[in-house]
Amino acid sequence: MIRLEHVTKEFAPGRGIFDVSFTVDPGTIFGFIGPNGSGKSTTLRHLMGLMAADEGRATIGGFDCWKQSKEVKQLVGYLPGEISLPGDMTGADMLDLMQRLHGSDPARRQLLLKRFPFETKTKIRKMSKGMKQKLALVGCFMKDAPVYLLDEPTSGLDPLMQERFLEWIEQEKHAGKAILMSSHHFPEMEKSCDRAALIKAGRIIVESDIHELVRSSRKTYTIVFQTEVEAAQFAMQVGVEPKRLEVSFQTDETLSLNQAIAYLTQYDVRLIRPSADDLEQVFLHYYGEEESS
Amino acid sequence: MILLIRSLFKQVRKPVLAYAIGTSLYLLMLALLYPSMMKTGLLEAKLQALPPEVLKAFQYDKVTGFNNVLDLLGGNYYGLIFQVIASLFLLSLAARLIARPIDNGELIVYLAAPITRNAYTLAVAIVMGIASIVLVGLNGLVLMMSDWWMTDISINDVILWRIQFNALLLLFAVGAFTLFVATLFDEERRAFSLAGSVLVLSIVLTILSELSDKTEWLRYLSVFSLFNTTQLLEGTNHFLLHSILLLVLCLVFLTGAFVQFGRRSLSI
Repeated sequence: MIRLEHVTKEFAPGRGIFDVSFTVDPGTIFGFIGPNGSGKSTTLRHLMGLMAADEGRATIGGFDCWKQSKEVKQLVGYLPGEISLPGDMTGADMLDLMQRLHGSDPARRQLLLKRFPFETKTKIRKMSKGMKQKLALVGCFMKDAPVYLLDEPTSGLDPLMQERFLEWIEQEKHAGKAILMSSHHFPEMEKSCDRAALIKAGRIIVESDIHELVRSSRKTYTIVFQTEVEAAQFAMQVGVEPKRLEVSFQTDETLSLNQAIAYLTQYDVRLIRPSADDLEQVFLHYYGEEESS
Repeated sequence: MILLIRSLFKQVRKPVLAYAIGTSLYLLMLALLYPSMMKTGLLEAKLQALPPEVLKAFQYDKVTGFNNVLDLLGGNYYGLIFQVIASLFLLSLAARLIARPIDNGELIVYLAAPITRNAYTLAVAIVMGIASIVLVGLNGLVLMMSDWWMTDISINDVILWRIQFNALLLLFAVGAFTLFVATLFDEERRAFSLAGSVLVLSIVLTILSELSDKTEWLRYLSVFSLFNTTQLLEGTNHFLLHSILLLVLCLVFLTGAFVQFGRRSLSI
């Protein structure tokens, strides 16, 4: 449904996106992960027909995103990364305008307003970041589109709203929508995405099934020992430096978790702490490799 | 398209009405004062006391006598004042409808919808056209109605609407220019500076061209020389030629705006 083929856009030497390729099929959520300025929003702008590629091609539903932007936009619900809306309008005015511009379903609007409630009579200029984000989410999803492009969709949302958002996109996925979502929020990406791509300095450095990506990653564990002597002995066994009572190590092909557990049976362990976020480890792992290469 | 035009016009409705009503009230005030000014002869005496270069700069050529209120307005409102008002009016419209939405990203509200950039540019051009019609239309109506209600104003309706038509074409040409410049930049400030500088330069060139015969050629560099009410009132104006030139300028800049806005990358 969404397809990028070797898309390159160079703003200045080394700045832009380079040879970006991936596809998002109907009924899947594709995560697009990368640090600030890595090219996530630029890629989404190409899909929205806001930018012309120097090389390569972006299509949605078979339509060229630059040359057939009207047809493309009929298929797409778009949530921009920066929510810039006219400050003088109220939330309700804005939704009315978006409803008319996109031909959206009023019943879907009401349903979304129940899920993501906010005071629609407030002027946009007076709204908090979270309220504006909810307004933009309702505006985006009230269009029953087969494709959604979401740039940092949970930015500014409280945990409850983030949870509701994840439930909502799960429903949309099961309804056969193709969803491309960029985010820094690793737990939500891990929970919701089927596939993911990591982008750095405008280049995709890995693209894979998200569970495959997490499974293949090295994981970090921190062990807290009763004594510093034990910590030092264990650290020597796994080949790292201890930090007083704590030893952090990564499992990989040379050190499996089972092997580490076998070592640990010899010691008085106070606490075992796995890394909080597996996808974040994947991210850091790939970024670390890139940095060192 | 109708929805887009309505939505965009709603954004500029207040300033458009403010300009139209403000200038019309000014014209009405001059029309109401005109009979008493003529009776006392004070106005002509004061104008004759001014240096001829200054009077020419303000297009007050008819200091030997005003036959009707249009003679007064030709030099007063439709001289320098109208040039400044037209420039500010159109600069602010182009900024509100194109330059600012590009700069602050609000344009995405429209461009995320199934609307092409050409459709958006056309809608902006239509809104600016409607705004210009409202401005000169209300100005003309106020003068025509004041002529109905009052004696001693003696407005010739044909000349009045010829002036309004010429003013409208000037607004179209200047509006197309400001629209074109607004599509060139990502920053509103840069678009406003460039278009504003060119318009101020045009006004200065018009004034300088009136000061002496040696500088008269400068008028050909200014779009405002294509709207000269004094000549319109005297019947010496190349009305048709000026109208065609203004229309050509309008079409050239509109085409430039469509081409430029259609092909540029937008970081919104």
